[in-house]
Amino acid sequence: MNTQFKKGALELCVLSQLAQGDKYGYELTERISGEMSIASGTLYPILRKLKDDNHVTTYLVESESGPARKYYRLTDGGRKYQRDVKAEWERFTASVNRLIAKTPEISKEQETPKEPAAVVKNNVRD
Amino acid sequence: MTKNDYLDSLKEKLEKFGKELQEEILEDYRQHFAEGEKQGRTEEEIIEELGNVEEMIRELSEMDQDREPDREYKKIERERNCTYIGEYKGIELSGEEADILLEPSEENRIQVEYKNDKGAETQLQYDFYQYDKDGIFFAGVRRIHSGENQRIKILGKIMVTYQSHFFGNNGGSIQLRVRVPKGMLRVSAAATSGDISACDLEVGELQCKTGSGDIDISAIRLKKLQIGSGSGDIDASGIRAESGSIHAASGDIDLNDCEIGELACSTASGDISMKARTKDCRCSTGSGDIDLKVTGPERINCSAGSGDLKLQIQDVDGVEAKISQGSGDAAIYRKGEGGRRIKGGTYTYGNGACKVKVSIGSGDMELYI
Repeated sequence: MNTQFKKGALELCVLSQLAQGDKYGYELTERISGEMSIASGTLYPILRKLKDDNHVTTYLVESESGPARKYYRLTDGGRKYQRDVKAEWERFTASVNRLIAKTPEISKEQETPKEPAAVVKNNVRD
Repeated sequence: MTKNDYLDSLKEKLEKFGKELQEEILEDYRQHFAEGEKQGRTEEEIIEELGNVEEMIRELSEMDQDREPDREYKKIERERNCTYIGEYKGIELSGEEADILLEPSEENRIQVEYKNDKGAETQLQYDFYQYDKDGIFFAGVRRIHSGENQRIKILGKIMVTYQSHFFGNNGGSIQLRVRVPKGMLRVSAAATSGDISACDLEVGELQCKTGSGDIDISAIRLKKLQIGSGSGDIDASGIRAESGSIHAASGDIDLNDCEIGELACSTASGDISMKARTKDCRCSTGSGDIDLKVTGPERINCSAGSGDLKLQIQDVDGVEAKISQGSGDAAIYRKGEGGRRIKGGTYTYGNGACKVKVSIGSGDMELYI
């Protein structure tokens, strides 16, 4: 998958998971890797970037066993950012879906060498 | 691979990102292992799940690259960095509202860094320009008059580096930092409300002029110095010059550790404080005070209107002092003898080699020989 595309998508997944509630790193990676096949490690740089950009903050909670858990929480700015990115994502995927839906027809026509004019006409009409 | 191998390799690969980031990511991974183990996963399973370290490192590097400029954009609205090669006789800079900073050039080339991180409105009013004409290098900031076409000429010179960013932003200042090659014959800088500072230069002539901006120069070796300000203060130290002329309207003048052959200094309402070695010293103020410590002079000519005047003369064989006194008190202090009050007139000490003329109005005068 295109890395830029994937990065944007993963960032939105992280933001949206945090929009549902604070989570610690492992919990978050489990949620996401449960849905798609990714190297969980790559989520940590995303979290770090979100933190640097003040979209998330972190706090520590002592756990009954093992080291303290670092929780991530969306800031107010992060919430707005999540909504913006989500809206952008929805517009984008809607466009992609519309284009994908048309693909078979267009390619069928293009594959018909006998009637190239039909393709042109079709395009003009569109 | 065991957890430790994995973490070791991670640590090594994170080295280049600096201690802080290295430790942060390592800690995230350690926690990830701890949580995974709590869930009953094996080290191998967790490693499998975390994935290839390289992939994460790539992600991190890309973000680092993305992020750095991002931050710059927030701060910097407009920025240019240029280096100019060429035989120039002089540099003429005009800063308007911008501060001008003159620094020595290490590469013996003129380097200009222009930075405008003012708000968008101010940004739109000013533009950077650079051109050269008759062997003089011109650069600066100028007002853009709306509706007028901007013309930026960059004539016939090779630019080694040229970068330009245009991005949105807020607050801050406009700054023109110019690195001056050693031995430049003439450097001239003018600003209105901007400050001018210069340090560590070796040039033929230096001329600085400001309106309300301050002028601060230090460690400069040159033939001729000309400084002028309106309401701004002037601060100079470590100046070695054949001649210097320093004038302020209402600003104060402060000279320290200067060696200037012929020195002329004046303000209308500001104070003058000076510690200098000079042959010929002329100094005057209207309503301000004067405090001079002059070493090795041949001639001193000093006047104060309503302010007080204190003059200390060092390293001379003798003094011939012509005092013209108004309503204030006057006294001469000699080493080891204490002071005595005097009236206007001529007083000679030693061989009288150093000719001193002092004129005061309503202020007091103290002369130390």
